[in-house]
Amino acid sequence: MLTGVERPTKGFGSARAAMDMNDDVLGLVLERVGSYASLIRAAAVCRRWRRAIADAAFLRRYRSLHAPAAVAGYYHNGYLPDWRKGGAGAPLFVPSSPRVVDPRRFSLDFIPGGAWDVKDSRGSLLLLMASPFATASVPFGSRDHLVCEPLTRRYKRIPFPPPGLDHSCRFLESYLLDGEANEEHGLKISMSNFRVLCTFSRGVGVATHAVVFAVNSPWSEKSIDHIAPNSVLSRLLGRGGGSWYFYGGDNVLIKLDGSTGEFSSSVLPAIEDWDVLISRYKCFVTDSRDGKPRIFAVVDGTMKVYARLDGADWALYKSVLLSEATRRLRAYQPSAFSLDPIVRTRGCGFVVLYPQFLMTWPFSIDLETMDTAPVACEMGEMVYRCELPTAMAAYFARRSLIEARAFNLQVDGVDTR
Amino acid sequence: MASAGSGDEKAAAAAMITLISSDNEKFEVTEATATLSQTIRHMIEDGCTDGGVPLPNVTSKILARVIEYCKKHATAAAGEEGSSSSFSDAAFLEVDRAFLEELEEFDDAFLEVDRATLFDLILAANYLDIKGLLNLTCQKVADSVKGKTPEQIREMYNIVNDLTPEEEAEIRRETQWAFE
Repeated sequence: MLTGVERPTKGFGSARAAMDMNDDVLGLVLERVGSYASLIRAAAVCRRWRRAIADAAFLRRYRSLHAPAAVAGYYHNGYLPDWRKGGAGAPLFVPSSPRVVDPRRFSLDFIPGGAWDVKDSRGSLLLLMASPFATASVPFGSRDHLVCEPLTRRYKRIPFPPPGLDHSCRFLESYLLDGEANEEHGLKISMSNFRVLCTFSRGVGVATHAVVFAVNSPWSEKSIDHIAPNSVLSRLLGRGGGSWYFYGGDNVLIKLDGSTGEFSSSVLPAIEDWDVLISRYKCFVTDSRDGKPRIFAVVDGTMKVYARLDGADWALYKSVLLSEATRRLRAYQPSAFSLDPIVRTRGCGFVVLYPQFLMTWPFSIDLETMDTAPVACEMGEMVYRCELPTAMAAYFARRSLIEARAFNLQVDGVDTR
Repeated sequence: MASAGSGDEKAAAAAMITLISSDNEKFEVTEATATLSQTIRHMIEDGCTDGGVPLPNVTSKILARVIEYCKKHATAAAGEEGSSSSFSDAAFLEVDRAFLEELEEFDDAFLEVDRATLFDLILAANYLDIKGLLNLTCQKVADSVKGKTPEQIREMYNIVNDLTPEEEAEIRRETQWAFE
């Protein structure tokens, strides 16, 4: 016999083949292996197991069963640009569970050249941009971008600036989107299937151009005239549910869908004076713990969270008086909230605030429980979720390389240690 | 209407089904026990269980274990139905919890079998479409794979490594993080 077959050995009560199970049953067993590392090791057992695990339908099912466990941790850019600390620029990684995830595996030390900031994250990938505070190795003001997968230590440079844009165009923002390729192996995003959307302006901070870099069709113009956040009032609110949100003024919420790469707009219900809240930086968008979009606002000493439940319109979801919520914290001062606090960090499921006259007293507030806690470390403006590569994404790394070569794209960061 | 309905249920609960193993041994079980198997439930619905249900894929040794499982869990299923009506009854919930713990202990003890029997149980659970048993037994095997190296897994289940050294090296190279 060829595969997955056993030799009779002592210790078994039966001479029957110990792995005498059909492919369906083998799949049922393997989909219950609850750790990606264990699953990949299982793929190295024999051909039959490898084939069962590499099966696209199996992987889709495995992803849907185990997706919640796939968050490896969170990256953030810290507060002070690293040149002030004198070290090489590197975003910081906080593991989701220190016992399960070894933070050393998520070091970005394989990326060459100067300091980088995280601009966006999607799946197991990060979009990095040369830090504007970078030292000599990256020219000041350069907008070099790269997409990397920390766990597999691979990266791909995004050629910048895109062709066809002259110097009158000013770079605004960049976003990491799902790839366009068919969902082979159930993956919407991988090192061989992603897109980067960059917005540019001709004028004052108004997005007039968008260009999209896709793995197999570098830099194409994208029309954004009809919907993009291009009014003077428009402001980036943040990221939630895998999409980016902007405010277009007059209660108009604009969404850049991270999966399709399309802009769309909707009207926020007039339950708040959104114009005022947003222009005063009191209202933003972030993720809930389970990756759903949330709008939150600090208004009249109250933290308010808005959600869209069951596809209904945005509605008040949670609300808590900050002076009450922080009462149990050390160094509590009743006067701390005479002015509304400042929003410091938009986290995944939490927000960091500090009172206007008490910058040394940052605290976090959980967007589900509304519990508060003191904050020990500075996490910058945004926290970026990083997932483990889906079970076989790493396994298919080699294949991805072949695909990339076929598309004449240089993958210049393969670490072969 | 209500009393007629409950009378039917009682009649259904009392109905007996005969299961016949591959080695021709006969097992009398209640319909409530037998219908934990979706396969048998469909046969009952189609009215083709007269004269017994032959199960040519299941030996008497394994069928006895499967019936043991179904008997225990059929009681549990009946208990669950009853609990919904008295959900607010704290004393009842207390009893329920004790029963669930007992069920868990039963499952743990049930899985104390050699690997060959475990695989036979999986095949029987799959063939008879008994969700709970299939989940229980598959999870047991999956847990045994967790944290093991490919060599240890092959050893444990007597699997012949038919990957070429090149193929194996390739997997390890591309997914080195999983092997450390």
